[in-house]
Amino acid sequence: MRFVHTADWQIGKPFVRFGDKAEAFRAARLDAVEAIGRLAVAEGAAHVLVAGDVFDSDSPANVTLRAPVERMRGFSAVIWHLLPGNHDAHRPGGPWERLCALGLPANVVVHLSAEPVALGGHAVLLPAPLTSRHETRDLTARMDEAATPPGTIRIGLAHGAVTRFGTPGDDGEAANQIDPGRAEKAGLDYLALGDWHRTREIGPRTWYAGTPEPDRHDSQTVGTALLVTVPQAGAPPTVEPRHVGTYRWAAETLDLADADTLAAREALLRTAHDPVSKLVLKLKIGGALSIAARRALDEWLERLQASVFHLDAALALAIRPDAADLERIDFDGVLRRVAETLKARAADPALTAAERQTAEDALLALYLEATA
Amino acid sequence: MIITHLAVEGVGRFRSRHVLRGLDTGLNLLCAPNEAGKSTLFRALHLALFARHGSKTEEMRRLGSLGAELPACVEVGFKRGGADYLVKKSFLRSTGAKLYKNGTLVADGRAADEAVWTALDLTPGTSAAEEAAFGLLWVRQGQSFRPAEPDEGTRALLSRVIEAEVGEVLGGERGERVLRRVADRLAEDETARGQPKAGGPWKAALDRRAEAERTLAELRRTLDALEADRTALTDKLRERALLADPAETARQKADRDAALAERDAGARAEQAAQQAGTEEAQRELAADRARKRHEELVGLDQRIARTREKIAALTRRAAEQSAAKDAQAARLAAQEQAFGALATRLAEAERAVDRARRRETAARDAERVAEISARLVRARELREHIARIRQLITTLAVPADAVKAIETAMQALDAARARAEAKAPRVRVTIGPAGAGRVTCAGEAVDGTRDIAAVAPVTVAVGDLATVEIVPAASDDAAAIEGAREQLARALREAGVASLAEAHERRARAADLQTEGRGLAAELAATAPVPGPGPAKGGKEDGIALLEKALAEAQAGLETGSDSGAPLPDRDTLARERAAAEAARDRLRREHADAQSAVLAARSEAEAETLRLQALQLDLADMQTRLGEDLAVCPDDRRAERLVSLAAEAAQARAAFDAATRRAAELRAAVPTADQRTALDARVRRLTQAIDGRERRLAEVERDIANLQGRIATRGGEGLGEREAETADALALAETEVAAIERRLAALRLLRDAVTESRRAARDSYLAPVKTAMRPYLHALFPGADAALDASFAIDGLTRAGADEPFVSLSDGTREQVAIIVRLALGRLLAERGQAVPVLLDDSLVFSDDDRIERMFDVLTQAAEKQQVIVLTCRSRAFLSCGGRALTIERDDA
Repeated sequence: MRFVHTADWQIGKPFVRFGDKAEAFRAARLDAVEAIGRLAVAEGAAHVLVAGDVFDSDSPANVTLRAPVERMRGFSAVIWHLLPGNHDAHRPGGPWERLCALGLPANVVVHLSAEPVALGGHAVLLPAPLTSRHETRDLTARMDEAATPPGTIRIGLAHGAVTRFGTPGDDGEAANQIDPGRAEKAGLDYLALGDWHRTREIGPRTWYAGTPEPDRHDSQTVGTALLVTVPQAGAPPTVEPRHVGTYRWAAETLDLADADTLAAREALLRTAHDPVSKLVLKLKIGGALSIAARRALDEWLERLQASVFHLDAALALAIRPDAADLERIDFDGVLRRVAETLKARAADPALTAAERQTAEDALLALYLEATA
Repeated sequence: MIITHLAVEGVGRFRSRHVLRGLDTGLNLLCAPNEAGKSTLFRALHLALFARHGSKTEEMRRLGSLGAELPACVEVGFKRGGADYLVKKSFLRSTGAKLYKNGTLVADGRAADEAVWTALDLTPGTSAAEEAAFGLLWVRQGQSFRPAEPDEGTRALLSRVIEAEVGEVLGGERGERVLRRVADRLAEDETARGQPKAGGPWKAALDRRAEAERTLAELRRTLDALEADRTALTDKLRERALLADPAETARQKADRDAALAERDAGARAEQAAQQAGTEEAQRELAADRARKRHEELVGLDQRIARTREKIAALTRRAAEQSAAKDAQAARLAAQEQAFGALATRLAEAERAVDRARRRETAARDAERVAEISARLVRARELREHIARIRQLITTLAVPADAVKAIETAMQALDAARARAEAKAPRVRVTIGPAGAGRVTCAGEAVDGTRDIAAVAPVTVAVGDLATVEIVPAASDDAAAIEGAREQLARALREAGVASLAEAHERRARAADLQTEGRGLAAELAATAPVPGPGPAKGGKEDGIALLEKALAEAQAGLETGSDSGAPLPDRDTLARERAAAEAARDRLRREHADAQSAVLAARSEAEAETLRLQALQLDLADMQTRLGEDLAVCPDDRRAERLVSLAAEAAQARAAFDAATRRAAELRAAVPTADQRTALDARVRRLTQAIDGRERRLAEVERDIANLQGRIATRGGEGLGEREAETADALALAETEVAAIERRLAALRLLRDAVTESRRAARDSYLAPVKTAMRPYLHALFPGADAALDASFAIDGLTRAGADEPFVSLSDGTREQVAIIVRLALGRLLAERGQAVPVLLDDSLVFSDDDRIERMFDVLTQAAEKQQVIVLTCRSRAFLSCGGRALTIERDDA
């Protein structure tokens, strides 16, 4: 049996902080659905299992509810199995009731209870839908008791955090816990999990699919879905991660002492993230630069911003004006004395970091004004 | 530079050649009246140094003498850089210019104009050089009170000399431009007070943030409400499942029916018990009535027997009481007889006391008649004595006015005599040894020396050798003395005395008599006092009259008290007699009172005995009435049989009652207790309400579910979650934007403040030499004051006693003085740095008072130690104390 395992679509995520690029990010998430559909068709997978968080919130607009369904409708040979996650938990009046009320195509199945569902003649899906945002029980425990005919492939579908897994701050870590040994305990051939945005293997039969289109820099670089093949009941599954996302999300750190290394760093970036036009780059820049070097950095960043899809540069740079900087401000007189004063202030340990930063900013502003 | 020579010809009022003589270093003072040509000389000097000789400015045209056909010629001599220069210029007509240096012509014509400027370090202009420091230090008439405002050239010159010394550079245009740019950039975002500026990026970002916060809060409230609705819906669904359970409904109904059946059985038992209770009560009533009838007859029988016993006892007590009543009546009669005898004796004793008291009063009246008679005699004697003294005082008295007139006349006589003696020639006779006893003067022998005044002719005889008569000169003094004597004699006559001593003696005697009279009057007042607070008119007569009246009254009383006219014994005897009579009477009074009390007590007791007898008689009658009534109810002969039959009836009724009581108790035991009934009622009520409430509640829950589902559907369809996420993103974006703007503004503010502070520090340092030069002058005029200058050396104001005073707010005089001081200071600054320019003041210090002008002279004198100072003034008198070198305008015909 072959199916595609995916999760964490989070349709409807706004991306407002990206300004006019927000719409592109929103569209990319829907494009990922189509990419998954294409993958399933291409690989002969009859089922796509979506392990929760189809929607970003539990009160999306109707058009948001309809949008992925309409994408799935176009792949009539594929049956899409949708599971409520913590973002879109199934609750009275929630998105799933509304979605059902809106009407679903025949190839879209919503699993709102823990009832086992047959996947063809040889496999059974054991869903564990979340009915609240924070579930304190391990809902996959029911799978242990779920009876299936002998020789049937048992596939679990759940959303939550595997115990003692993940890093602080991840969604679902404190609640919605799942026993990492569930696949063995429940005799599952495969446990398809969602919640963790990075693709991750927990065990030979237990995987997180990861998000098909990343939405932040601390998840994976490019969106992924898993192509899973289970030859027969009890046989180990074959799991193949496949890229289905549009944008690459990368985070880099630069520690600068001068502007001379910028060209080399740019070349590395272009090689690692080709094409950079789809790169969503977060740059954390530290170190200390002269004012002139800082000006060069600004120009470099400006050019980089024009190259990549989105650039988020966080500068934690210290300004260390050299003699040339100060002379460019003035050789003598009021402006030179102001520059000296600001320089001393920026290095004064008695001041707070914020005050020193303000002095650096003022020095930079002076430089720009004096050399304009 | 020192101006050493100035000559004009054809200039203003100076048609012929005139020379300003006396110019040299230090303070030069030209005092000349109005229209003497001072300002003309100022203009001529100015044009000769700064103007091109060929130009035709309005000022130059005004320089020429009115109607003159000749050119206006000006010669100026000056020293600079160790050289002597002489400039000769002709204006308007036959123009020309020559410059001599150390007596040698060094330039001619237009070159001479520019050579002068070169010598003075002036920048050439089209028609004239830029005046530079001269424009600042040469003050025309009427301009001295304006603040010193150096022009560009002067500022440049001052800056050169100062910067050379302090090494400060203001930063020029670049500093100003940066400051202006920073201010402009700040002004895009904030107001002058640092508040967000409407329409600016900062305000817009803050507004966006506030709007995002508001929208987010609103969305979250709606989401909270949605969450609450969902929770409520879950609860309602769970409740509906419970309420709609049919097994539970059937169980509740079965319970209710069982409880109802149990309650009905209890009600029936209670009804039967109530009927048995009624039967029991009826039986009890019948038994009670039978028992009472029997008990009443037994009671009647017993009462008849007790009544008969009481009648017998009362009959005995009535007889005893009648005897006691008679005995008490006999005791009362005896006591009333004794009381009558005591009353007769008491009346006699009362009369005896009255007699004794009248006799005692008569004796006291006799004594008073004697005492009043004696006082009346003494009073009459005193009255006569007082009358005699008054008569004597009248005879002796000399009025004080008369004595005063005598004394005045005597003083006038003494004064007339003294004047005569003073005017009279002094006759002094001194006897020599041989003349002893031989010389007489005014008829008296002279022994030793005699000195008299010759008021009247005095004769000095020297033995028989000679007689010398000294006759005083005729005068009015003798007549004055005679007049005084007559006046004295008249005064004595009118006073009736022979001399002033007699007058005084008689007044003393009269005073003694008045003292004696006052003593007698006091004695009379004591003897015959006058009642009332003060003596009335004729008080003494009144006192005596009162005594006479009292005497008459006492005599009348005496006659009344003497009953028989027989003489009375003494007062003590009479008192003893009265006391004995009173004692006898008091004794009888006590006995009489006792007897009266005894009669009253006996009378009360007799009445009480009578009342007691009457009460016994009434009780006896009452008992007999009762006995009659009881016997009428049931006579003695029928009572025994009746008692037996009633006892049998009572026993039968009691047995029937006991049987009914047992039956009722049995039925009551089967009735549920009150608690049981209450519990049963409550159970029935609860089960009924539960069944009804369940149905009602189910309907409500169905309605609530429908409402909640509708509301959730509406809210959920709004896309709240997406909007909340979008707004949270927008808020984060706005916060980032605000933080970036505020960081930028903080940097710009810091930069602005740093540039401003640096410029201020530079300016302070830069202006320090000017202030140093100015300080001695300023303190000479305004001790302790400081002047505020701006970077262009213009004065902003004064600081005195810690208070800042803008220049424009100072008085005219002070402004003029300060303006001159600033010019002198700038001049001194230049002079001390080798750039000396003379200070030229035309008609200045016109607003200064006397004190200030004196101090300004000190300042000018101080300034003149460093540079040449030329003062032109028309106020000759005010400038008398100015000192300095006096200049004169002289015609030069040479």
